[in-house]
Amino acid sequence: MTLTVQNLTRRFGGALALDAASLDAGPSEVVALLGPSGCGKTTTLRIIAGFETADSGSIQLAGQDLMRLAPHARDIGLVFQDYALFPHMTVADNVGYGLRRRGQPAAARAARVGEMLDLVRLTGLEKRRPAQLSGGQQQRVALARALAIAPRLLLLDEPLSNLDARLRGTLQTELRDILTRIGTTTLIVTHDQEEALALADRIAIMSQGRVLQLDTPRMVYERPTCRFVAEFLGRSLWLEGALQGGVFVTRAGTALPCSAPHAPGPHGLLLRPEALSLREAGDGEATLPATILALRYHGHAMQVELRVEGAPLTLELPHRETWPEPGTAVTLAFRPEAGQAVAEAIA
Amino acid sequence: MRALDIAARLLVRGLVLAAVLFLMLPLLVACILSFDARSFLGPFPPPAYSLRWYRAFLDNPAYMDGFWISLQLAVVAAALATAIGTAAALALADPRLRGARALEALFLSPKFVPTVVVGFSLLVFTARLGLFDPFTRLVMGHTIITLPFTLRAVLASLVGLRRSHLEAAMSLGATEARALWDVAVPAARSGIVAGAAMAFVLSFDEVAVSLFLSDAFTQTLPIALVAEMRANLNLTVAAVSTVFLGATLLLLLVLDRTLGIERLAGDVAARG
Repeated sequence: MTLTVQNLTRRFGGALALDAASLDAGPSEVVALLGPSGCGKTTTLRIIAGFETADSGSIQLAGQDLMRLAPHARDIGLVFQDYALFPHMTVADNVGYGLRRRGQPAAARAARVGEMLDLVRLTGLEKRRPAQLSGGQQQRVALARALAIAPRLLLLDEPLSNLDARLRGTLQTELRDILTRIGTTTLIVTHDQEEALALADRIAIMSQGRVLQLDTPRMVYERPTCRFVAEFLGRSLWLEGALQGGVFVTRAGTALPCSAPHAPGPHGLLLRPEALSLREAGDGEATLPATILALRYHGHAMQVELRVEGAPLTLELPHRETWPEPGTAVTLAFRPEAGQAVAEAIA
Repeated sequence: MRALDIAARLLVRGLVLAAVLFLMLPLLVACILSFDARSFLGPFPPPAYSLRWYRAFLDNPAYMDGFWISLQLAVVAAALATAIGTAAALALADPRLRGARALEALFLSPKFVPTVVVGFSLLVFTARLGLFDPFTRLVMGHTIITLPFTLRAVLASLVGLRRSHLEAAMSLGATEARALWDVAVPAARSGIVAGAAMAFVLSFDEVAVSLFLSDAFTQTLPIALVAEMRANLNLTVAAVSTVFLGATLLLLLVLDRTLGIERLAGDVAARG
């Protein structure tokens, strides 16, 4: 099913929680809604589920206007951040709840529950209560319960945030496999970029109630449309200055090569740390003066803290025999195409 | 220091023992007196024992009528207070409700109004309404004074209920009412039962409100007891008290077996 959200706006008192947010997800597509807390991603999810109302805007699922439907009539599977398993019901009753509400006979229900528990690899735990399960198992019961109704859309609210780091890795892979297998259109709300990168086909970056960019993880990382997206995802060096002709001139007056900008307005220069190296410039490479602040031994690499035109920068560089002393002025080299002019903000 | 510790511990234990004795001894004395074979109020302990006061209780039509009225009244008032209290608690537990604290205080206010005032106000109020049926008036009064207790008990048991539980049920196809029934009511079960039991016991031995609202033909058991005590003081009162005590113990025992008394006490304590 195709989900289309257009110009969703919501005010809480005087605060604008959603400011004309738009996004879409195609059939079987997994889209992550990524942003810092308070950016409006949870409000978007709750409006789609029907637990909040929007002041204006529209939501369509397979061409049907969702806003007209009560939450229970939307056929949307929802996995809550706290899982929200019914504590007084067994695992089987939890997973079968949606089928019971749909009036399915007990035999059909039991078969579907078995199928779902098989999918999340919890067969044999039917009679357990939620309190007797580990966090990872509860998460999988919540997923099985949401999928049992064969929803038209699956919503996941910070699905892995309540689990410890090691479990998160395993479950991330497992969740990705399950989502691929069932092929349900899925929207994941998360503040964890690693989770978004690992699970989503496309990522929507949200800030202050707006969707700033919706694209594949690669495009969002390599071709950010504005400063917020560039700095939110991964590490970055952001230099302020202005475009003059085809070159970018920083505040300090250094002229650097850069790609052509996508939009008019004030721009900055974005450089990803992995494009920068601490060596003499090769043929046709650009250079940038920097000062080493500190060196930290990090096992597989050396973490080098630098200051570049007033901006802090951390590089992880392969080990070498000798390092410049902290305080030394050095030169960073990069391929000219690595420098990108990126808009300060989206108009 | 060590000696001081021991002294402090002994002092605490002594105080606990004193408190328990202070609570239990009068009950024990009334219990023993109810089996007194003498026909008059003599010095303690009784020289001989019999069941004469229990026979007197069963043979006295005023007591027996009172007992049935009290029983019916307690059942009806407890049922009403439990239903209203549960519905109110479910509404108050919804975080979207504005002014929930103020409403809760309003619902709990009968607890802090003297029962004599509640009884008198209801008497005047029902008279203005033209409502003179004593049983109806008693049901109203008892429902009002027991409502704070059922509401508190249910609210306390709803502490563990999260909004997401209800939303989960709705996302799976339950209407809001259905979600409340499937998710919130089971969560509140212990509070509902505890509240109902408290309401029943409170209604059964309530005096002040009943004094205003009953008439000569519709008297609750406690009212009958007070009247009888005024007319001719004898040990039937002790026998009735002992029956009361036994019935309360029995109720507690049943609750303990079905729900666990710690859980009931804990639920109630959680809200104070």
